[in-house]
Amino acid sequence: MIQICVLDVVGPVCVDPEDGAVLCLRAKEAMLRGLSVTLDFAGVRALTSSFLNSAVGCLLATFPAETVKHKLSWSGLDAADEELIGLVLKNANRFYSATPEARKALASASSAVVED
Amino acid sequence: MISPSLVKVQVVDIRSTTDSFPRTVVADANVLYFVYYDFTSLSDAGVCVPSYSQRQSYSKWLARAISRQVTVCSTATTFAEFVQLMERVELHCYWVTDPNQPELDDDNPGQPFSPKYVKKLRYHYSDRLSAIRANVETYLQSARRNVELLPAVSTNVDAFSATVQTWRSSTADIGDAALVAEAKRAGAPHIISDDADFVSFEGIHLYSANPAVVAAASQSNKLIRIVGRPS
Repeated sequence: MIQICVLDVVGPVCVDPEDGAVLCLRAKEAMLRGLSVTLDFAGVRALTSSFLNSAVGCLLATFPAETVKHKLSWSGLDAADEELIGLVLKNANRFYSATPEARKALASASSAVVED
Repeated sequence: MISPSLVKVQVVDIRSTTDSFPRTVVADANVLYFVYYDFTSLSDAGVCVPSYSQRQSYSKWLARAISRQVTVCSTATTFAEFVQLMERVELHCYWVTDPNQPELDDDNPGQPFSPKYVKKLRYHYSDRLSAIRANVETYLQSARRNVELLPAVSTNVDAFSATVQTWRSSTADIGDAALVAEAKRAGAPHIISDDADFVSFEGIHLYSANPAVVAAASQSNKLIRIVGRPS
């Protein structure tokens, strides 16, 4: 099992999805080696869903939901952010378990709103 | 295409590298949506790649701004618009993936989704609305932790009057005018938005990654790179 300190890797502001992707890569590498990963969010003062999606949601592109459930854990989040990370994982699971056609439909639903 | 003659704002291209930020910035609903709503994975389908870089630009700029102690604000009305956007997308997602997809217009079968059908979908998926709204509220609360409400600095009558005046002298809609009027009255005339309508307001700085906005501002010599206090 390895623990990744988010504060050390990203800093206290976890808003940029590109920073989330760096975190995802580290977690993914460890999980591919069969290790369990704990993300420690202690000291983080800003956290967004778009960051979390890049950081943890993307793991569902590589691993089945059951693997992520058993191999990934986190600490240092308050109740509101716990709820947020749960929602991000649920959404990612909805997306990655969908058929290619359904994925396209979901993507066009989210992009249409900003083009109105 | 935005006519350069319409541009009254000073525009900051947030894609350019600058280490200078305003003390306070007021976020429009589209920016709240880009940064605080979870749809990054949906972009992976490749359907909306052009706007993906736009979304990244706002997240990156806000990340740097928050790191530099910039206060990010918005108005209650803008938060309401953000909620409306998210609920619309969630309903749309339910509808597009529903194996028993209902017709949106019974008299004209096969209609694609559009915002005018949101009410119908709210009624059709009323049994799921509570779960949808719980999710939307999670995103809303996440945004509210980093984005403050602008302080009320005037009576409703004054605020309404200022909104109407702002709206009359612009080409934007009344909702955008209300945001600008409130921001100005709160002493924070720095707006971050992807919406090109904001170019027609006077007396504000517009922070944007919208290429059309930046191009029009450049042509009318309204493009600036550094505003506010040095970091």
